Amino acid sequence: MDDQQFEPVVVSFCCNWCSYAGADAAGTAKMQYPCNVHIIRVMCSSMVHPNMVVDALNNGADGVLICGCHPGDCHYQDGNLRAEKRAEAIELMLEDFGLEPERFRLEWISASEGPRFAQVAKEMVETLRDLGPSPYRS
Amino acid sequence: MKGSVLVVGSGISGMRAAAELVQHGIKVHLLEERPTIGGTMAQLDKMYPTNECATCTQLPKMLELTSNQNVNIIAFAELKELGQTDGGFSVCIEKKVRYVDPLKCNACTECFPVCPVGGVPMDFDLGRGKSKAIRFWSPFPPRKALIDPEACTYIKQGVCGEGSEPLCQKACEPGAIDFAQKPTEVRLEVGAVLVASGAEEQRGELAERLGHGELENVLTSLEYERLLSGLGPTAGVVKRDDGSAPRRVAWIVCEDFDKQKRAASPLCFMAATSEALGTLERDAEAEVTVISGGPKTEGRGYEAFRADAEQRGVRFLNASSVAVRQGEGGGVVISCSAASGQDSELEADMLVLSCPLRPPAGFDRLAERLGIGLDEQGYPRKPQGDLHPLHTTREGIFLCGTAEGPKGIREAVIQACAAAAGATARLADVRGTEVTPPPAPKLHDVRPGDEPKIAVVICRCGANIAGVLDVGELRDYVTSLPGVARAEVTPFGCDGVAIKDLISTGEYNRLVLGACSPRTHESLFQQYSEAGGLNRHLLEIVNLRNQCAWVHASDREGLASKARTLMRMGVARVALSEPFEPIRFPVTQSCLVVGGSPAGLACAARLGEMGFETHLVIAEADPGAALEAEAKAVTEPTLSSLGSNGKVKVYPQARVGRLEGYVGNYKAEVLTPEGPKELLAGAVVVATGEKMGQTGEQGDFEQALYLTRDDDAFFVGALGNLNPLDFNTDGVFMCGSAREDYSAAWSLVSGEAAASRVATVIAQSQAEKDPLVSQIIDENCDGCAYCIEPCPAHAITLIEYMKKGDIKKTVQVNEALCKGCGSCMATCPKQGAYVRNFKPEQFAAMVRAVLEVA
Ligand SMILES: Cc1cc2nc3c(=O)[nH]c(=O)nc-3n(C[C@H](O)[C@H](O)[C@H](O)COP(=O)(O)OP(=O)(O)OC[C@H]3O[C@@H](n4cnc5c(N)ncnc54)[C@H](O)[C@@H]3O)c2cc1C
Ligand code: SF4
Ligand code: SF4
Ligand code: FES
Repeated sequence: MDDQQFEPVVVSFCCNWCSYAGADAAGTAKMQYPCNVHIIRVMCSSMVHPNMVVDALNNGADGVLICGCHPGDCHYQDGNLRAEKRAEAIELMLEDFGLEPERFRLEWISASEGPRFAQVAKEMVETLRDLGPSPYRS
Repeated sequence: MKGSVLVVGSGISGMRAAAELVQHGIKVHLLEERPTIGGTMAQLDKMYPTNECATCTQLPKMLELTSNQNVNIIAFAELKELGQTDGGFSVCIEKKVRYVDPLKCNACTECFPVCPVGGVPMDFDLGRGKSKAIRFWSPFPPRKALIDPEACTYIKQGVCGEGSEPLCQKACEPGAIDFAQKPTEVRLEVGAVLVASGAEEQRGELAERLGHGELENVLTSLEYERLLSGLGPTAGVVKRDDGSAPRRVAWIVCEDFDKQKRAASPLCFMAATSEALGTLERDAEAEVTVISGGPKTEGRGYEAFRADAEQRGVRFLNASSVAVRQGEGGGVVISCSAASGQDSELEADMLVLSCPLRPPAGFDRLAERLGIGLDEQGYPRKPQGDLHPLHTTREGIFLCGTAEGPKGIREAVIQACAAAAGATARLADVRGTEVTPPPAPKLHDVRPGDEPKIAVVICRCGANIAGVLDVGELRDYVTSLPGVARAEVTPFGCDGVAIKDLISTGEYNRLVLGACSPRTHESLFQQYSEAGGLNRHLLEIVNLRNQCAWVHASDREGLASKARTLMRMGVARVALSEPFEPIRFPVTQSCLVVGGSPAGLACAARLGEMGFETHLVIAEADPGAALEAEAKAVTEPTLSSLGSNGKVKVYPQARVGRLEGYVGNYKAEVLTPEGPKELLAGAVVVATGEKMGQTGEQGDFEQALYLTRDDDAFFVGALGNLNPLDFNTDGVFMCGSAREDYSAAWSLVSGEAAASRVATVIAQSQAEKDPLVSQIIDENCDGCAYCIEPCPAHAITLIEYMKKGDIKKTVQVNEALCKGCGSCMATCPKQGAYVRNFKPEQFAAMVRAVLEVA
């Protein structure tokens, strides 16, 4: 594949209460970010099983982005902190699969942080463009 | 008497009172002067002392209210008259002219770009943001356009742009714009009135002396909040008047320098600290200084918040007087005299003034119409003083929030609950007479195994979606997807016509809407879906607007392909969705109050007045016997009303032994001098009053309810400014000194507030909740119990059972408790748990849909 044209595919799990609303706010403000990020709504960042992340990457996604509420804002008290703990496990799993750590990211985004969501999406896509396609991509 | 209440003001206090009241079975008319709801909190960025995002916290509450059929929101309207009727009030309200029919406007925003008048200052941003003459007043509900008659040239001069025809009217497809609109009158009958009209920053003389309105780069605290807010005029980036970024920002807590009067409330000091912290969070190198008469941090967690801010770099400067002048390059020079006699000068790029809160402009007129008296400061007079801080001079009219005096959100919420309890107690006999349950839908019979026949509706959303995306092409594409039986395009999905028409044919068993955000429209679309006969959980909303058309408009090709992918994802998920009925479980309509503190007594008395059977367990021989003199005086009337209608049963010299069960269904053993007694309660209030250490065995039940205490022995409650009296354990509440060091009067208020919280649980004999909860797959679960600890609701228990003569282990989820967060699902190493309609297969199908190249 020609690196110039490489368009990474990103799957992003966003929690319903803050981050998904933050992504909505990016829309309301008409902030433009690359099309590569595909949002899947989850109730809480703590709903995302490490296997969901690994499966997405194994099936050919170039990156996975989990977004949750800022610490203290989680609708279920501390789901985001659990997500943070699981992120460590996810990072180890990526290593086992020979995937670069940059392919996974966990971010806190509040309902009013539309600009931040757009920024994170842009950064992630740029990083992955530099990194190139996932080795699992068919 | 009518079983309904008029709430004046829709800030967090009015919103919360409304939410409590409807759950008590009282109909609410929520009157708001502004075009949108939310009050001051809607304008804030983050909140002390939790550092939570105000929007994240408040928006869900707004959406809940706007979709509740028993809350009648009357925005952009004014109270004209409040007459007395047989025990209640007759209300006359005037709806102001918005030049747009809110029933027709579907918020498509088509009219905004065509309006030739721009640069109109937005009041919501305190004039800092600019809009067209036709606009939304704020990002919050009700999302309906309105025209500013001061700005609209057609209204003023009969011209619009080059011509004499209003351009917005031509652009408005549903024909919502109406220049001939007249004010309309609304007449209501209510049983009680809650005044929650809030307070405003007072900018008067003091702010002027400190340079506001005169010097460059001097803002009020609320103006600064708008700059910090991601939804504000600068999208959350702090900018000076010339657009540059400030490096040095200072705050002055004004009231502290008003002839050396210390501010009565910690609000200004705390808000300044919170804003300073927010500034540091954006720019770690910023120099931020809060200048005040000294830290003012009375309130649980406030000092810790300040100390943390200091540790993170916020500088606190104590002064006895301040003077301000313009410095170089638009900077501000602040001269401070310290009490010690030392003077110092501080240069800042920006100065923020924390102005005292006072009743809003026009409050005296409101008070006159309400027929309530005011004190010298212009706040409502309290005839019973601290005894009943929420009572006004007119019977049946209650106060809450900053309308009662300056305070933070947490305190405003407690008062809102207490005021709601007061109103419900007054209306105890007519409770439930004005509210209607949501209509029971007649639904098509859809079985999990049925082959999907998916109907798809793609919304043009005026030009929001269709203006940048070829929706016809998208429809054709979607028709080719597996499971899709029919796809259509509609101008506005939110009018419900297309949805109801398609679904009521009975030919489809799933529905996908390509439209706006489920966060704002899900409950509306679910109603349409069920009106057509399709269970609400068989609907999937694909966010084509906020998360596609609006964010990729600059890349049309990418946008079209993204839209196809998002539709594929939605279709893939809904094909695996299943229909569910709400979870219903019985509720014991009584309450157990533990502790004879002033708060406990007030709570029990209020519950009795509301008509609920209440068991009050106290250690003393007599209620009130152990109270100190001040508390005794304050509690006197409460004591005399205790059990006056036979609803409150007191268990003296008793304590709670064993306690088990869950929300709506607790079973307690009360150890009395006559022996143990068993009683049932739907809810439990902890009002034990003593701190740990001083109490011996009082707390046997604490462990059973998963209650924990902090280092100061106060109970640790649910997180968040909006849940001050709640525990993480549903149906258990706290009040009085179980929660913080309160004055006797505040203890009473918190006790009454806890009564309101309890009533939200036990007002109905059956509870109904969202069925999207966790399910255990017994074949996969081996009882490893990893999921138990992560569950925030303590909903999971380990059980053992016999299978083919062997003892097997598995876990069980209490559906009444489960909140559907999915933490168990993500913890389980064996795919033993999943949340309904958030099944791993559904996520896998969506991921496959993403990766499949369009
Ligand atoms: C700059 C600033 C920062 C703050 N920061 C924090 C913080 O970090 N943490 C915290 O806990 N608290 C904070 N507060 C305090 C917090 O904003 C208030 O406690 C809270 O918003 C009060 O809510 P309320 O509903 O009582 O009043 P408001 O939010 O003022 O709502 C009153 C509503 O009534 C409406 N109204 C007024 N008059 C009428 C009328 N005649 N008819 C109909 N409607 C009417 C108003 O339009 C408004 O919508 C801050 C306050 C300010 C000003
Ligand atoms: S064009 Fe009409 S329907 Fe659309 S936002 Fe404007 S007034 Fe409302
Ligand atoms: S979904 Fe959340 S609340 Fe429900 S059982 Fe699982 S962890 Fe507990
Ligand atoms: S709800 Fe957002 S992270 Fe838990």
